[in-house]
Amino acid sequence: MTIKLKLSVLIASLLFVYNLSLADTNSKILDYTTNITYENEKLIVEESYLIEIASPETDWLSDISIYYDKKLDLEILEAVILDQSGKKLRKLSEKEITTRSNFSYGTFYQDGLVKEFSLKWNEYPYRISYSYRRTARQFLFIANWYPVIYREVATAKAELNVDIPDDYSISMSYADDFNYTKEAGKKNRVYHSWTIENYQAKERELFSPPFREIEPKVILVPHQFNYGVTGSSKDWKEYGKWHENLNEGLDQLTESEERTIDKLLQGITDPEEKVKILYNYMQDHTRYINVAIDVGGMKPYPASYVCKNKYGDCKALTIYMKALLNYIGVPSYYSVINSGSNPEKINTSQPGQQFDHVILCVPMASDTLWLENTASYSPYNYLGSFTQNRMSLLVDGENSRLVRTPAMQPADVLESKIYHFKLDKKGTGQLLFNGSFNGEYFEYFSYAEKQAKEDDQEKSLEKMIGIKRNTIQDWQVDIQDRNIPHADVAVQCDVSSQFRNLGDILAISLIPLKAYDLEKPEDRKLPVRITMPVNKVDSVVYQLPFLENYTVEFPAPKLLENQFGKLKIDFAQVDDQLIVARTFQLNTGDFEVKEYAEFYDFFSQIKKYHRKSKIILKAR
Amino acid sequence: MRKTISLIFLILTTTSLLSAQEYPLEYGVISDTEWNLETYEKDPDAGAVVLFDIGSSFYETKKNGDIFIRFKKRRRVKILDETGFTSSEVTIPMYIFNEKKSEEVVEFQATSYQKIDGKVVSKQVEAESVFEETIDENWKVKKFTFPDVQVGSVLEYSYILETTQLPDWVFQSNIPTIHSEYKVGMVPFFEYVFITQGIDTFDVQTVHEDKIWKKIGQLKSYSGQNMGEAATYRDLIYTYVLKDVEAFKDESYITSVNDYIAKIDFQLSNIYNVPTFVSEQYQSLGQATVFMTTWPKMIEDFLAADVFGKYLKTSEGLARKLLNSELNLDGLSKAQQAKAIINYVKRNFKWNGETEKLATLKPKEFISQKQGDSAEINLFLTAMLRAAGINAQPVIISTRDHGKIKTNYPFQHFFNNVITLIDEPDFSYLTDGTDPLIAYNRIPPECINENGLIVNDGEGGWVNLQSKSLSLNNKLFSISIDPESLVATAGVTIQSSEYNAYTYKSAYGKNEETVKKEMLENGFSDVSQIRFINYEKNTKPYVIAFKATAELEEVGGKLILSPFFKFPIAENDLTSEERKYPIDVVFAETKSFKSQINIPEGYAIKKLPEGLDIKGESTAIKLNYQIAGKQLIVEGSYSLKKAVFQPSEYGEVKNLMNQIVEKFNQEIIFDPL
Repeated sequence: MTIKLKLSVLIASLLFVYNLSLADTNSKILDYTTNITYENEKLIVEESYLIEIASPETDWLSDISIYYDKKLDLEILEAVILDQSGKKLRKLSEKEITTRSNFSYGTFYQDGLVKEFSLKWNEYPYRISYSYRRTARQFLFIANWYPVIYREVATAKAELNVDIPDDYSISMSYADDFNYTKEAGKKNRVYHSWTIENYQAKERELFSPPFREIEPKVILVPHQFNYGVTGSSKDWKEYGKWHENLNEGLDQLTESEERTIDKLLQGITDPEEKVKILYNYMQDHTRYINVAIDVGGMKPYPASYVCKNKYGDCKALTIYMKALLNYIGVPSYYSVINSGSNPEKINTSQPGQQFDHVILCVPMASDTLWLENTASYSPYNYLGSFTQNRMSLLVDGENSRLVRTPAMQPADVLESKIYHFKLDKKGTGQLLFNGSFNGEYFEYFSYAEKQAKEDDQEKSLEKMIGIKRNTIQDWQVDIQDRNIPHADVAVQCDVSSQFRNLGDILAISLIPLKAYDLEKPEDRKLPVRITMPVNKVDSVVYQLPFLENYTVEFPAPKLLENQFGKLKIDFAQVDDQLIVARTFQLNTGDFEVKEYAEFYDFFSQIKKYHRKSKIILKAR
Repeated sequence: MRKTISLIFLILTTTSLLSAQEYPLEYGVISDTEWNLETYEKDPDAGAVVLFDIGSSFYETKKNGDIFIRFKKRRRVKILDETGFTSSEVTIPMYIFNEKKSEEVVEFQATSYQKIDGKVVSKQVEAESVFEETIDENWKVKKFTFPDVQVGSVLEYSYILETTQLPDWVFQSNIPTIHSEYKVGMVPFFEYVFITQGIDTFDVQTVHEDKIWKKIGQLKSYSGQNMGEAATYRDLIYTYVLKDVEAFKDESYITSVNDYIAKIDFQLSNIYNVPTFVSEQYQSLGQATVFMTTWPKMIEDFLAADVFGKYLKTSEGLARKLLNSELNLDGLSKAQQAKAIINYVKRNFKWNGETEKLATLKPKEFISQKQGDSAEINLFLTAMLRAAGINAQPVIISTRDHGKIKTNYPFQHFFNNVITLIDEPDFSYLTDGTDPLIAYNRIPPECINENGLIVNDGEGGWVNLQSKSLSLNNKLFSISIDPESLVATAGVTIQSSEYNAYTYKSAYGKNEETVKKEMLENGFSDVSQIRFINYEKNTKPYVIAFKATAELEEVGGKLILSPFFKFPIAENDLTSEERKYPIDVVFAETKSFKSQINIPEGYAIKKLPEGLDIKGESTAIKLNYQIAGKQLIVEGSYSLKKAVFQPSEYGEVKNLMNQIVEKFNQEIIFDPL
């Protein structure tokens, strides 16, 4: 599934820039200062950077991009190159600044712009200094501020100064890492200031919370704001009401669409059946296209727009789905949420804009349904890895509230694979593979069935089977009911050299289990978070007609079980068949960094066992 | 296949009109055949098919007397399954000539059609759903997506683009095309050449004279006097049709898609009998009109230009001063001087990453900013060499991603970069000042693309850009095995030269972490004592040396080791049966591996894998095992002796790759005694 809803939060919300270039400990952000002033209903944000570039490897730091919105004033105040003593070497001229449209993957069109320029010098180290000012009239944040500019470059000093009227009511959250001061200013104003020194972003680690959650930040949200319409973030109820007001009147179908729906639902009486039919109708007749313009990408296009164009982004498609249900008298709720398999957790104590996607919540007599409206291949009432098990703000007027979406259970992610090999002494022969998938593999196949080329699907199958010297001859993917998240896969393959031939010995290796490249416990800095359960059950059968001429040595069976998960491997011989049965499970949860050693040990035992264990056939 | 024709002086003996076609149908009139098409039988996996794509270009005159080209395009696509939905997003590029003038779309319509219960339902793309985006200084685009797209939908759009540059036509797309057609109305004032690519013969290729007389320019009467200028003429209409064009699929190891996609380009080559107002207008358009002249004339133009020839001259004076103040060339031979100057430019001027054939900055600005694009750097480098009395010439080239130069057609736009040729009686080489990691007498791999044109007052001429030097990559392993802990300890030396060295330097820098990470992926578990030797010395072999350990496998008491670890390629990228395009590996290279393995106490090798020695036409591969006392020595090497292989040599290259994958990854088995 693709990423939705653009959050062009009008305040300088710093997106981390992931740059693959090499870390350089000598180059640094010497000073990053943000001054924010709220005055005369305008938010003025000035940002200034002083960066030291120590070597050619970090020259990329001198390529500057400033993203902004067409409707905003952006003024570049200064851009100069300095030597280490601060002496000015060169000033950027106006004509060196280029402006282009902002493009981002997954977005068809957005009205953002980018100003770009470059401040390079030939002698190292050199410094660059630049600053700019943005002015916004509509905003949801006073500050959404991180001192990390580039993940791989340390910030020597970062400072956020906020100057607001003393009766201007805001909510505040900030990390303990900052030094915070507050003082009364002149003429009924108050100055807040946050500083941090010598901060280096944390390194990426597997199974850890997302960066935006871990890195220190300052979030300031106005209690009263005007963004499209006036709103309040005093509590989640009020904030939900703002969404409701913004969406006011958008959830109405066109008349011709109503006629189509009448026809579609003729003779259907069961309300839940109706919802399902409408959901499938929406899936079959619309496309996801993200056009992010106007009100910072927060206000949906109306349902009538989708009726006409049959496309829209997550907001428009959800409003349209809601309008379909309105029309048949089924109430439903626009629910904003954070998407992705490892989302940033919502800070429940600071109501405001913390979401990047929207789904629809439909309470029915028997159960509450959740509808994802941007994927034509998604089953009815299926959230999957994209939006399962997290807080969502349900927009329902006075009853607006945070609710948790249902969590995927081990049964929901069951991946069962059966390998049946028929091989000769050279390890050459046939493989029949049968997979029965819920969860992520199901998500892939349901998507692929509709949207991937056959060659690509075949390549994915090859990867999923995960053995070498394997040629797929034929394959079928079967999803019996589009509304039931389950796929069956059958693959016929020709295989060769499946044994290691070591003179008088034939050795059979275990089919590898997905390996994770985990850092050693002494290097681990971050806690462990597992967001999705894993539940794999594999049976591997080697049917070997020549087996009577060999003696068989199985490795010792294995059972590992702890709070993180389970691995169980057993072996058996039945006539001319050798059988390997393997179960691997991973549990969801948050674990402290001190528990990481055990987590690491769990995976290294699994890895070691798989590497060392071989079935050995010795000639009699 | 290339053709040149003088369009205007062709005397037509026949006027063959197009015979009645299946296509084009009128806008919005969709035939039953089109509605009923469910799969395209020539490519059953295609998610969408272009039913037709029809374009035309004709000269016209605006009310104010300006002449322009009216380019019309109409395209109709059938959606066959959901994978074809991407064809519903359309981008129309528009060239920006300068701040005031750019191509513009003046008329536009786009409609999606679908059949519901036998009735056709159509939906227009509305003006507010058409977006305009600025890509860079030279291009902007109009962008839209069709509404109400379903499997079975027919999508059609048409637009008129006003331009002053005769548009090219691409017959091929990422989905198959049933009918592609381009009509061009030639006028008696301009001569064009056309260049086709990826097309053997057209299905239809005709020319006929239009019946209508057209007037160009304005003739006004004042008091019985004719004022102004005008001319009358009839269009000569050229028609090109290709049918059933397969989808263009990208393959690995090609220079640029632009070099192979089926297309026809038109280039203005001459102007005849043009009323003066036309030529004046054309001159004022500057970049928009680049005539095909002759190579000597083009060279003359380059030399006369402020941003090339004059930049060179001015730079020479400035460079002379720098030579005196910044460089001490006393006592150096000419060859040493050249080297010192090139290294000086590389060290003191920073490349800003832009590839250009013409300078944007003035020489003074370039020197004070100490940074610039490739043209500013290399023209300055040429000038500085000249200032020192070294014979240096600028060479204009086309980089690999920019496509190939067609040497039969003298057009400026084929070029996008400039490098420097040094040509002295005792030494001569191509050079470039943009990248400090490349030897002073080498050019970056990106610049190696067939031929470059020497721009000088004399005879000019072409210079072959291919590097004759073989890039080496030797890997040496000395391995000892500890059967107790099942660990192999290896001293590893990676020695590389020429472009292979450049590749390592750009990939790793001098960063130990990056090397470690990369080596862990090559089968090692612990990497230490990393050393970089000759990183700055571009003419010497570059060496990365380190110590590493790898875990050994043990099966039934036997020890197993891959003598070259995971360094040899594990999979052959060349999988298709045949190859249509040349295989371009950029530079010739030899890779070799040598492992010296101490056979551990208590073990012996019962059987060695088989060696190999094959010499092909332009490839070679060798693998040898040898036991010398307590040591096993495994040596392997393979060579691609040239940079570009023809499709006919595909089999040889593919086979070489297969051999590498199979043989160089063979394991050694140590049996317990």
